[in-house]
Amino acid sequence: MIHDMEVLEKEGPAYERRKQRFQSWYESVFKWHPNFMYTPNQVINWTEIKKSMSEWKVGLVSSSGAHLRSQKPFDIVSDEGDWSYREIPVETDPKDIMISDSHYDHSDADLDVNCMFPIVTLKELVKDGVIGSIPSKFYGFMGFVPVPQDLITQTAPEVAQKLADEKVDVVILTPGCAVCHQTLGIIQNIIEGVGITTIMTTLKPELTEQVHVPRAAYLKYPYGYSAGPANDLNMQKTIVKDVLELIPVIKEPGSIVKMPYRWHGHIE
Amino acid sequence: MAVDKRTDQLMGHVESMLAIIDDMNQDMQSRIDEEKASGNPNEPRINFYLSQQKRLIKLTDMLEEEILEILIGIRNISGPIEYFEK
Repeated sequence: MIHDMEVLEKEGPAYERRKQRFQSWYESVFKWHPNFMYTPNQVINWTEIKKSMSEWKVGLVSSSGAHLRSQKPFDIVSDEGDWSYREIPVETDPKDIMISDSHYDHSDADLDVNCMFPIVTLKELVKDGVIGSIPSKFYGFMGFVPVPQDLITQTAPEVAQKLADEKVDVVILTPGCAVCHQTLGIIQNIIEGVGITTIMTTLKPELTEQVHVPRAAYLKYPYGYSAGPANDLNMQKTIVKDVLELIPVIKEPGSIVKMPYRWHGHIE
Repeated sequence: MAVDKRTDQLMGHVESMLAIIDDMNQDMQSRIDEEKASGNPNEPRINFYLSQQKRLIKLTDMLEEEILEILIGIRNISGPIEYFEK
């Protein structure tokens, strides 16, 4: 449990530094992705959860590019990105999940997908009695969606409805690359809008705060580890549990909490 | 796609520095507590410790907020650089 919760301030020197980093990223992103459209959420949706954590049905949505090996890979070539999604049954063997995304290094996740797509972690948390249950499916997006209009009108609402149909209480969301942070923030807000409480892990708080999401947990990790370090299930469980435990204590929409973990490098 | 592993080495050096600075900071705090607990606390001495702590905290902030931030950025982009070269 996190005792000293550090909520990122929304003004002051640290905020200004993050804002400068966002500006600098925003000015340079068009050099690589000329089609990119900055699309912040206009209103932050907000759903409070009344149940205790041990009763939650927890879903997972990741923009890491995760999908089943048997499914069509995401389009990693198109400049428009790919806003489709893949349904991943929760009984899937993690070895049958792969990642299609060329915008960040996922070589560790290729060996241990759980560091991006915490399917094993969530099952373990059910087994430990930390959370109540998981739905029948998790969802994978590829976060490189520089033009998110169809994501907003079609695919994100579809996934939100499917989660609602399964009576999911809480969804944890994990990003991949930089543009992913906008994509996932949009998906998160749409899911929250159908009455499901959400939290995303962010590796780029300066982007996440400019997209305006309901809640986020900042992991000071490189891309490729948005659900913990690879090959370290205990740490992955600690991180996901701590992230979920933030949900009832975050009371203000748009809050981002800095997690107290440091990156200790690639683990063999 | 694989990142340049030297970035992890660089980050490891910063982590080691942070651990040493944490240790020094705790050392200053123990001296402050010890001084305050004594019957006749020496104010100038306490001020020296506080002044040192202020510098250590500033250095921690720089390493965490600026240096590590840049190193993570370098690590993040080193993977796509290799990918584009292939």
